[in-house]
Amino acid sequence: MTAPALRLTDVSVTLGGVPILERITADIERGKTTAVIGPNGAGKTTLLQAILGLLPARGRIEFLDPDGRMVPPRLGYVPQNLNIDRQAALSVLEFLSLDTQVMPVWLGISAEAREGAATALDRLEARHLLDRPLGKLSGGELQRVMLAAALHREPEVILLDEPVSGVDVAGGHLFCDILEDLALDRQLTVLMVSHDLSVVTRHAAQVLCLNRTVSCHGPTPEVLTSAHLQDLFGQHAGLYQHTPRRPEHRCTHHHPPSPSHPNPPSHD
Amino acid sequence: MTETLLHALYGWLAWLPFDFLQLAFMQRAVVAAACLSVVCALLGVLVVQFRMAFFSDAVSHSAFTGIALGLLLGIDPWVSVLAFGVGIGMLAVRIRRQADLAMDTTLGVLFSATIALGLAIISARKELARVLPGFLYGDILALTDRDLLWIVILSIAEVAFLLRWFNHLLFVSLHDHLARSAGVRAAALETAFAAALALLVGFAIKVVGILLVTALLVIPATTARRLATTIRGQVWLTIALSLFASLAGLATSLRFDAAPGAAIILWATAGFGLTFFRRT
Repeated sequence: MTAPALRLTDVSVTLGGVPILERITADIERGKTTAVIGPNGAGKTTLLQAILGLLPARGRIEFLDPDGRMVPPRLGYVPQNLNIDRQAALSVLEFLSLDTQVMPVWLGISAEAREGAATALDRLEARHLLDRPLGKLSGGELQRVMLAAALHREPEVILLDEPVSGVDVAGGHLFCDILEDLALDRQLTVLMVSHDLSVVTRHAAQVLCLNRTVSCHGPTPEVLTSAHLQDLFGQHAGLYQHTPRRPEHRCTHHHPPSPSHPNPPSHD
Repeated sequence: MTETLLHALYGWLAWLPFDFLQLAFMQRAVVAAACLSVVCALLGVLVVQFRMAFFSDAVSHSAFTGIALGLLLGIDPWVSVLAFGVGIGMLAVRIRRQADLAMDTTLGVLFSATIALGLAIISARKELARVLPGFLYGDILALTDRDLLWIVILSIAEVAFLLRWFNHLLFVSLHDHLARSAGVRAAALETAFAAALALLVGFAIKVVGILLVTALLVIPATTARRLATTIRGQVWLTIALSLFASLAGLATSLRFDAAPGAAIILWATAGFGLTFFRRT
């Protein structure tokens, strides 16, 4: 049995004297998509930022190889608020080259950096965006560029914070489908914060329920139950039966489709 | 070696078919304006991107206090202006990061405190007030060879810094967390950028004065940003606009006997105004 890609042991984060996360302990399975769900203020984004080392955390955050040995993290990150300055004069190619070449982008883009950026976009069926201004992209296009930037660094673990917020439903599922195919191809471990339980049901193999501490963690069909959701989000949360429009979609190979879809909780 | 380079430049300028370039003070002014234009353009693009116009304003106004402290302590006011400006700039970044405050809030506090300190010293020592106008308006035509030497050295150092770190600085300005997650040392870079900017502001005060130094950083970069769609386009257009405004401002000031700093900024502002007539 291979070791988890990421092991969290008693991870706590306190900001300004306020405890945000308390004693989070969880193993994030290698090569699978784990969704982090929870109500507003549960500490979902804080958890990702602690894993990224952007916030000081107590406890242990360990990245492991398949044999369970600690390894330096190779992380990709797609942030929640893509409030990239829309007025910035910057092309997608220039953006993708910012951390792949030392020569200032205003002196030109090296052939190697251009090829790398084009390949990264190719994986997301977005090569046509290469020379477009970053500020003129739609929400869905910008998400794909951000994912391309994250994958460009050849990560082993990729952290996504509300990856489909601000993107239309079809665009959101397309994004997740592409990500899922890439994850399968490269044995990528995905940790995804999402408030959209339809995305979680369809795309995540594991779910981590968070409300300052871990309230449940396990395979999606076992965790996404009315009882767990009510415990996490309150009494109004629940599940309703749903017949998928597409009887068979691309994601079914990754994990068994849930017989039911959750009713998005009113608190989230 | 730098002096040899300067004299070669003077010789080259004297060959140009303009009478005013035969004058030694104009030769120095043109070289200084060209150097500072290029550096202001490169840093200005990042200042606009980081939304740090208020930062350069605060650092330039802290020069009041730097001058007062220098005169009070009996050290060269230019040295105290530069040291105090760099100190204030780095302190602002540190406070902002540690206290998780917005930059404008941090600067609002520091700016008020430094101005208050400067005014307190100057009001207590009335004789200090006599030297202030020279710093307020700057005088590029009064530069000495020594001043110019320092401006050239600063320009080379700043361009070298930007050649190495421009991409990472731009990345941090776009999205701090994203850049840090990619391994960019955002805090150290931002502090170094603040120091580089404060140093440039200190030198640029000699040319355009405390009151106009932010304009030299911000206006050409903002004008270019309105016209360009790539950072490459924005940077080169900013350099071109900045050089044009500096040289046209110098020529205008000579023709109409106006303050060169003001003439430079007016030319830059005219360029910005013209962008409103372009078709979108």
